[in-house]
Amino acid sequence: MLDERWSDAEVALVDGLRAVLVPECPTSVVRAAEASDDGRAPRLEAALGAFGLDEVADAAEPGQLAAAAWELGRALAPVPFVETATVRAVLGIDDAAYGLEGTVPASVGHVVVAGAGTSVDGGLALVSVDAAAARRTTAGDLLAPPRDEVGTILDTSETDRLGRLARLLGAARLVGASEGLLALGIEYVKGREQFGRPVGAFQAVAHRLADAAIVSDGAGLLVRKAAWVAATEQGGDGAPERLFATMAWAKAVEAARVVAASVHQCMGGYGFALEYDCQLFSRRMRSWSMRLGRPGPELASMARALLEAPSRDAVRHLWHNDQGVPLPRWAGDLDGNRERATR
Amino acid sequence: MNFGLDERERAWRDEVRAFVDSVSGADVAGFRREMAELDVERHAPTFYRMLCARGWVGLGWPEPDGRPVPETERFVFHEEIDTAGLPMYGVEINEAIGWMLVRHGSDALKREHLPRIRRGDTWYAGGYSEPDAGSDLLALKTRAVRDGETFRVSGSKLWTSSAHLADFVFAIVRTDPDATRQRGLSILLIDTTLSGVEIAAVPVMGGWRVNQCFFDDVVVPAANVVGVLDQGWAVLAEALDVERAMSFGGREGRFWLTRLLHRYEGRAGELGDARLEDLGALVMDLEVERLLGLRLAAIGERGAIASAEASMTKVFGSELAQRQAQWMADLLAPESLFEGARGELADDQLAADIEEMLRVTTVYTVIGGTSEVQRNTIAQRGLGLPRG
Repeated sequence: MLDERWSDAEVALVDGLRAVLVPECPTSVVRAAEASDDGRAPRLEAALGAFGLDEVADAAEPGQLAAAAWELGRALAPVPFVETATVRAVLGIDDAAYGLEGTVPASVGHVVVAGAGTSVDGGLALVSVDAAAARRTTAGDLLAPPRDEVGTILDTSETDRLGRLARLLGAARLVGASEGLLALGIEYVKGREQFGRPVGAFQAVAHRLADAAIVSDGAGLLVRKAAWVAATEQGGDGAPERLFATMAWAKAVEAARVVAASVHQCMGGYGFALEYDCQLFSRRMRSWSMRLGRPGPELASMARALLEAPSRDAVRHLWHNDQGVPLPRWAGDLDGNRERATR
Repeated sequence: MNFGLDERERAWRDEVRAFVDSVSGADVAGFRREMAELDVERHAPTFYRMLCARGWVGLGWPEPDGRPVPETERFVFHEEIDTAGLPMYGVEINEAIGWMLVRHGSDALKREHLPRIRRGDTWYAGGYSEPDAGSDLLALKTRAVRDGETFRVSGSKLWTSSAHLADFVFAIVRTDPDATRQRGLSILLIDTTLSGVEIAAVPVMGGWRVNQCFFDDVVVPAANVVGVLDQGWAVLAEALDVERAMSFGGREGRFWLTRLLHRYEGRAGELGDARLEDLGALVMDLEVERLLGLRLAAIGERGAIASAEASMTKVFGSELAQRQAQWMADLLAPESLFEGARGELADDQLAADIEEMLRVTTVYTVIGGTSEVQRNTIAQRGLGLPRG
């Protein structure tokens, strides 16, 4: 039976994670981490370690990885799970961040980079993180570049899978944060009164949040389908196929930006004030959205693949199709005339 | 978490797909001529009866009136047909009204109407809106006054799709003149051949007619009340839920884009980066639209109410259809500038169809509940925001 919800294993993981995050990662902890020199939350890190987050990464089950990233995102947890779990799940390397598109969390010891340090073009290498060169982002976290060193050369055949999994987990984190911020905005407009009634009763406000909910739900559903497609039971390799990695990431970025802008508008000056939590979410969502580069070119490349018969016919699980994007017979009959005429 | 079909669903999907693949270009040309002659939207009796012959009208209805199938199998069925661009509107309207009879009709009404719906020899129209009652449907003024075993109906219904073909109008009317808003309303099945019924054409941009139905002291048997007298709003609310779960361009969009992908096969270079990005985003949004619809079916299958989720699907699908039609028309210009003769084939069928869709999708954000009303539903029932 079709079921868009997490499976039992993910539900158990989500419940367990929330039991840790609710007491250990209130926004006061996020603020404290941001105010600290190293941007870290040691007590939270210890609690998540005791919970077994590393084991989740080692198990490399895409649904569970995505569910964990989602919940950590909802809590704005200042831990580099998305970056490190990607490397741990694909390469089995501990304390290393995915860094194919740029800088990585400064708290991680090593980084997986493309090209640099290898003699092979498009190669893959493990180098150390140059923590001394760390800089603080507008989201309050510290990012550092890879050190300029030769490092350890890795199996390049995993480059693509790393990138696809990084997109799924990055998307899941954004969707979690979007849901968290949307919930905050909804509570605010229910309580805030102007002109003698809750501002959430005004259509101009309510409709804006309705639109934010649609795109947030849509991105969440796409993340779950991408995780489902990635599973070995569906013939996946533990990361979503490129098409689903691209779609999940691009939609999550869009959702994060729509939700951030919408909730800010609905909260007025209070959303802009540092005293309120809205900005904790929106700064991170906007920053995380830029970590993997602009999604547009990836969407274009997906379109190119769908315009070549061999790659189009190899696509799995797009829309209602098991494989490819087949044309109904009658449309082939009627569209065919013109096709021949224009060639 | 399961986004794929199980064995039984897959076998069913393959059966439906085999039927879809049996439909030729010549068959569709025939459906289109029929629709043009009948001056109606997406309703070809020949196609309807092809479904009847397979027992596929009344899917999901209990025995003996229909064929009980799980909600997800209904979803698979409609998805296969809609994404093949086949004319389902006539089926959907008849089935929606049939479903209300299954749920609320008297035994006599069920016996009279359900077999006819499943045979495809009787057509029904939904009489809801009125000249002064659009989104504010409860402002309706059509009255039915009790007179022994009959009601005398006077008033007017507007935008009634296919009423000019319909044998019956499934109308909501005020039966208690002293009650207000949702109280005192009833559903009446009104035979369109009765004296005092007049049906006038309202030509619309899609290229067909909808109708205004006038009722001048029409005598309708009291036995034609569907559901409890004076409590028709509960029935109609259900009918509107069914209607919102229909596809308003969202599923059909996959069909148009599939045709475009095949048309431009091997020609990505002609599109340029900006258009390729747009194309990728459309593919993505059509996937999102499918997942929103799939969620709706899955919630229905679990027996839960999904009002907000239905509205999300409707808003997203219909607004996406408008964006997609405009984007494709732009791409296919100048061919998409020219309106073809309705019911006739064009040299460039895809461009002609998109020209039509650019006009047709205009109303998709209006019919079945406007986007504004849907957003109210999402805000109030989904997000828990207070009423305005």
